[in-house]
Amino acid sequence: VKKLLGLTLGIISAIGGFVDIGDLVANSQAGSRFGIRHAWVMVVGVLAICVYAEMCGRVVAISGRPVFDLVRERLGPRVALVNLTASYLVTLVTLGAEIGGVALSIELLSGTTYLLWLPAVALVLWLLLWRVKFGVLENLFGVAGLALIIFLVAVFRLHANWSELAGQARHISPPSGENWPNYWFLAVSIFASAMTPYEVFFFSSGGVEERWTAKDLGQSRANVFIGFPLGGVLALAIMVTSALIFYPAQISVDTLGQTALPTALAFGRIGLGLAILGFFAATFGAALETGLSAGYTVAQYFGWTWGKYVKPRQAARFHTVLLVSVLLGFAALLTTIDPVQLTEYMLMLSAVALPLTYLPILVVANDRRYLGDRTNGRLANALGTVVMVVVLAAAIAAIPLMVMTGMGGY
Amino acid sequence: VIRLRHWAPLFVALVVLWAVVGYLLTKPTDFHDYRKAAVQSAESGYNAVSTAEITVRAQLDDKVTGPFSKTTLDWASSAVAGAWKQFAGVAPVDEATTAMRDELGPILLSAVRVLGDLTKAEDSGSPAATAHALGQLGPVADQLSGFLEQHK
Repeated sequence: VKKLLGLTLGIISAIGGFVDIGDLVANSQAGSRFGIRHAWVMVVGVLAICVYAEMCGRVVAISGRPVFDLVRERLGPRVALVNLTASYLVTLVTLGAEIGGVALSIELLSGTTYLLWLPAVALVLWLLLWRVKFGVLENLFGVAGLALIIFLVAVFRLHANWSELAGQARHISPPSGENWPNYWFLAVSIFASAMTPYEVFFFSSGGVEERWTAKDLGQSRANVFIGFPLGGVLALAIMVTSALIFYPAQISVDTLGQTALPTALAFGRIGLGLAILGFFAATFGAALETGLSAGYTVAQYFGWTWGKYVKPRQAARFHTVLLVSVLLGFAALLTTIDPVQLTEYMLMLSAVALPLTYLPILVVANDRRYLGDRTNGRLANALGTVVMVVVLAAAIAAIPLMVMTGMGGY
Repeated sequence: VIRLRHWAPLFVALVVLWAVVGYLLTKPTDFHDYRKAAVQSAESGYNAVSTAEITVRAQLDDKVTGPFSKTTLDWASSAVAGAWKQFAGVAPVDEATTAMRDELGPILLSAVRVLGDLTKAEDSGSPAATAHALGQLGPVADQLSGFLEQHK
């Protein structure tokens, strides 16, 4: 029973924890401007993260070491340094965006500007990272993030025209009044939101924190193959609600308040409250994960003691990186940059850095020295290679699309 | 020598990038640039006004909370003010763009004023004043939508 409970909690956390500020922004923007013509991108993104998260889980369960510890050993310190630099920068920008998302959620509840909430959010975030156990951090916000199910229910309450939605989903092209560069800009954003690099750092290092062994492969795979797709369904529901309310009126979404509005129209204040609670949990949970991921990547590269399973005093350098990362993310927001805009930049930066994150995973997952007879099979390698081609295409296209569209503006 | 060869492509790439960015930042505005700036401003204005309208209607139906409505209105007001500032910062380059300025400028100013009136009505707590201010949003949204249809 205890094992079943653990499994269920893991899956629930994976569902609730799948959505973060990137998913909230990219999916609602896409829904408002293109209907659900990007639904296929979310499907591809979920499939891609499942393929690589499964590899990460397997590497951890068999070798007992996180993937990026092995990357440095397998590819050498120089290549790993390039990897570390790109990954850390993207994770840092993501951390800033998530902190901003938490503060914006509180503003939607309180009516007081998010800038005033930033110091409190950063302080509480750091305190939780310092004092609270890993399991609590992982599960509490993941479970609370399930409040986002309100978007799924709202799809039905808003009387969706299913045949029209199906028609949009079948059209892999922009509607009249929009152009191809903007279509692909948002496609890359959605793909990057599903595959944000910190997700695999956290998943991989979290496996070590929870002391996974080969016996835990089943739980790892259940989290990945049940939790992530169901999390993807929540992200898709956000796109659909946005498509139902804003797309017909040709209103573009560019605030978190607009993302929540369809739930209010469907269920009134209760719906709105649940949506904002979901935003808060999703962004705070992701802020914790990105904060930890920043510490994991740096500490694993330099071979320091790391993790929440040791006391902070024993992993002082790891905790210093956590503190500095939170401060840097907080400082970025003090420039008064709009957190939604920061998220848009973060998604494009993530897209550029994706190959640096995912290619080493493919390499390590094929290395018999670490995985013995549990290396990638033909299917995993075939899917991994196809995903890598998509990842490379997204990375190459990201910057030109940013320039051509002026960040998806026009 | 080996190091120089190693780094040379990076230096060349940086110089080319610098030159491209420099050209893009300093090139004079043409009709296309002006139209793009005008359409972006009109889109921002339309999004803000329409979202404010939906939100305040929802509030009158008791579907959203006061703080949510206030926050949404604040964001809408900032967006319209920003759109106006962006639009005013670009000078027209010919007769066509001057006509565009004369058409969009007053609409954006109306949007700023109407959103201001709505915020004031919300602050007063009077549903009647809010409903009155809300009635002014629709025509402004229609004007912005018309401008977008014509110029996008």
